[in-house]
Amino acid sequence: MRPSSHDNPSLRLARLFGIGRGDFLGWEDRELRNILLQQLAAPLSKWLKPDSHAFPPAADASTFEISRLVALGDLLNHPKPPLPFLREAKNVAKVSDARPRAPLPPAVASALYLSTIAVAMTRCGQRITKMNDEQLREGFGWMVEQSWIDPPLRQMALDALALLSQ
Amino acid sequence: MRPNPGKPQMWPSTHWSMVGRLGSDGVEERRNALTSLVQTYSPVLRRHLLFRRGIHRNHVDDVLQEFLLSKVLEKSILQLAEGGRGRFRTFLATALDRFAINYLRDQNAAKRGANRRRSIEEDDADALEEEPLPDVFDVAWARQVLGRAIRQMRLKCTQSERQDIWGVFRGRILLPSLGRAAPVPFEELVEDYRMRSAAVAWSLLITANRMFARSLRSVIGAYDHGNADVEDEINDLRKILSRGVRKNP
Repeated sequence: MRPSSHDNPSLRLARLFGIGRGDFLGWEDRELRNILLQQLAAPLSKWLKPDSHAFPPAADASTFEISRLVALGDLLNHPKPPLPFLREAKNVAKVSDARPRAPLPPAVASALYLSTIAVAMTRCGQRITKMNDEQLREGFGWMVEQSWIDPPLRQMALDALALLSQ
Repeated sequence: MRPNPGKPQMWPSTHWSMVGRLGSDGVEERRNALTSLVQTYSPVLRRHLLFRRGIHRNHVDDVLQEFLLSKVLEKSILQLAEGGRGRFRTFLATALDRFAINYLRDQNAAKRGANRRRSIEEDDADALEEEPLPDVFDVAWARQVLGRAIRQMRLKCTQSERQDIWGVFRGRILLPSLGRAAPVPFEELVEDYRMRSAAVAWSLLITANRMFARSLRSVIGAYDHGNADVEDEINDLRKILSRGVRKNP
């Protein structure tokens, strides 16, 4: 079991050196978990441009299944989600910690951003990012280590890691 | 990865310029530069001698003062520590170690000549030649860097009248990191600083993180030149604190 920074004073201080290197402190795991779950339950329309629903569904995806995409979580759990939707959601996640109103905690934004990429890779067989394999491994590896991330999302990261190692 | 929060802003490298001033001809300028150096590094150097090198408490101040006067002021050894070449803290610790070994040997030699018994100083000199003891110097250095970064951030918040950013940083990051308190609930911060919503507090927390990252890089950039050096040093200091202080066997 990894040592918890909560019970080790030096580890707690060490985390301060992670600020500015991808780490943002100040959110507790339970808060991040709640915010992530809220975002997964949020209407998909909040994550897509107004005209995104005009995109034709992927040719081999059932129209019935697509019409059941209500929340962001539905998109990420869909067996074959429409790629344009994933791209849209990825682009929104990318800047969602910098928007002036109601920014997301950067860790949640990162988790959602990486999730869209993982889903596109594992279920659509497509890359929707310019990140290279090493960067993707680092990102998915980070997701797997975060105990606050929803288990299905962590599983997606594991699947994507497995795909990268093939 | 997602884009970084932004390339760390490098602020003026004050300590390196201070080292440069030690070599200047102006007596006043040299004195000021030395005073500043002593204030900055003495606590860490003292701990280094005391805990890592095991020098007796009664002799630590003598060794340190002599080092600062004879090596730093008179011989300006710090001019040898060129910016960008290696770690400034490593350079300083090594120079102090070498000085302490010679200093204590000289002292012991004088006493042996007078047929004195084996002295505490001999033990000190022997201790210096042993394998390194706990990483007290590095841990103290890491803590000092954090302390300076925190003070710098508080000063900037005060100067820019952003007590809300400082309050969010202190309540959500600083006090929990020091183990002094659980994170202040966002609702409480919203009330204390009259924010519109918790989302505003989240936003300020992101700002506070970025501000602290800049302060940290400013403090380290003051003694280690160049972006790569700063990031390497941050990595080292993080590892040092993650390891903690090793106990003496």
